[in-house]
Amino acid sequence: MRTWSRVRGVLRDPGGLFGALVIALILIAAIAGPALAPYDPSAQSLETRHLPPFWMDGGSTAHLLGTDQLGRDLASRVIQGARVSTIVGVAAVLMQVLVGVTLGLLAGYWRGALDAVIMRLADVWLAVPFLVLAMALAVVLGPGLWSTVLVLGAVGWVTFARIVRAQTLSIRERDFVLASRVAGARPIRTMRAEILPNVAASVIVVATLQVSQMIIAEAALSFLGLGIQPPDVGWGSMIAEGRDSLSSAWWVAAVPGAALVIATLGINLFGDALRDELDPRIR
Amino acid sequence: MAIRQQQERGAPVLEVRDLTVEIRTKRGTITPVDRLSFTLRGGEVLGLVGESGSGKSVSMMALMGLLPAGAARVTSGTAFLGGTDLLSVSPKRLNSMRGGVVSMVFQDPMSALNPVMRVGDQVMEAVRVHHRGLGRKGLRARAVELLELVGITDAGERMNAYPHEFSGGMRQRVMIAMAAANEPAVIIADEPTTALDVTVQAQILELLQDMKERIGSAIILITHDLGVIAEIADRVMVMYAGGKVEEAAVQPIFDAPRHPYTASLLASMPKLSGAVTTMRTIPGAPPDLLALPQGCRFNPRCPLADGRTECHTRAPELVHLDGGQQSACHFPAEVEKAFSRSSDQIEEGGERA
Repeated sequence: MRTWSRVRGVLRDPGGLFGALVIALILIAAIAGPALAPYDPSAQSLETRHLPPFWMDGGSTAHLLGTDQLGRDLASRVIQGARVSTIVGVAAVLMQVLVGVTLGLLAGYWRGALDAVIMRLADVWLAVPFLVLAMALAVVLGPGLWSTVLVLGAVGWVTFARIVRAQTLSIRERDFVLASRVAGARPIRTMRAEILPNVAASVIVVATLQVSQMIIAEAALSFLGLGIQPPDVGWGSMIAEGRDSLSSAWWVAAVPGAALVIATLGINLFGDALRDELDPRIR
Repeated sequence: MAIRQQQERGAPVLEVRDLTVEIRTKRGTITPVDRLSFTLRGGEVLGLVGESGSGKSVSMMALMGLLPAGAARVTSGTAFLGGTDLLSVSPKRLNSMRGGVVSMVFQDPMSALNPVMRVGDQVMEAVRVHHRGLGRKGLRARAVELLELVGITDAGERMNAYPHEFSGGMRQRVMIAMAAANEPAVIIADEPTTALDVTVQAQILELLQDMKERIGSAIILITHDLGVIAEIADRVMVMYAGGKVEEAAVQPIFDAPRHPYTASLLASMPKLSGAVTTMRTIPGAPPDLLALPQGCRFNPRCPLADGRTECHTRAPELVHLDGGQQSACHFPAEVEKAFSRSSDQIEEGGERA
């Protein structure tokens, strides 16, 4: 009942509705990509290189969004790229949530030395620019889809740890936490059953916004050649490939770029609508 | 089970001896509970009265092992509950006793229930901690039974409600259901009616007493409402500045207090009969625990202490008077006289108006 009314609340917000549609599109593309794509995304055709999108002179409806320097269909590649973005975005954020929420709960609940260690570690993490740290790790781990997930997951846990710790600090002082201890619950149980549900709303909201951050970060890493490697297709590596022909065939970079912008915007708008719905403090 | 058997009426359930708690503050070490001893007997309601800061709650938290780690600690004493010393038992063992043989009802039912968990789940959680073997069905059945027991109608349906859908009185009923879930030997109720409407207060007190009869627990009732004490307590323990100053059955406390602090408390109770006059208060303030007065801790506010060196030099020991009454005053016999004069004046004033 409550869940359903919240879903409706998000969809009533225009941004939330747009975001939900974008997310649905991305998910459909990620899951049913090969069935939807008009061409094999890696099929080359040197006669039809640098075809512009259909609305431009010389464009054809056979290749709706044009082709790249090897004659590969851009529409098919963008659809294929959605899969990488989804996997990296979701998996990296899940990893961050798992690590960050656990450390945040422990630090906030136990305080003391453990808290100090975890939070100083977080400070050190934050002191190094996100992308620099990710690049360093990517170099160490080597490029590839799953090492990209690992890199981004390892870099972003701090956000969650800090949010969860801050909220745990205040929630642990509430009477119902004391009541749970009085009832004989073990600390882990108290954290999981009493405190976690109270921080869940913020975690969900931040996680949503973080997914778009990770999609951009993956694109950035791939653009630099440290992320997704062929034959995998990512929007970031597609932009990198289009960079050389930017003056003659701008669409090769612009099409995946547009996909990236729309995806990020949609997820962010959805996250904002979700926050309005879930977080009573700013309502 | 050993604890169960001792619960015959009148047999000691909980025996606290010389409980001392120290708290280190930046300005020095204070002793919010100083050599507190008392016995809780099976099936009784022991009222614990005193001003804020007199050590009521701190002593109970010490018994539950819930003093904030690092800041406060128990420095001496024993507290035997069914053969186990609560103050020296391992944290793990104590944890398994909490909610099982000793449980607690909190002052503010608004904050003592988790706002994001269904009421039923919270009651089930309280049962589950001590009945690991029970399946979800069994837990649910027990929770419904408990909610019915505390007088919640349509318990089966209300299980799915969230705390904000309940009134204050109903929430306190839920808290009592959770405290009673495992039929503990001792229930500590920390001002259970303070946050409630007056009409609801009476219902909750009645419920507490009813539950006590049903499950045979003894109750420690912390309050600063003497009316509550008069209503359901069997015995009363009065605390002042960390120590017990008087203990007696309810009637003697109201009829013939043997400590000037108790007498002052009673005298400051507003009376329903008589005219509305200025409320009587106890002169002065509770002492600063960092700078306790020499001798008797109550001497700066005590009408009996004027010009008496004894009160200002020697801390009075608890003395046993007839009828099982205990008082920590050098002059217990003079209390009645000193205060009957002043209360006479009030009543005369009332009649005149």
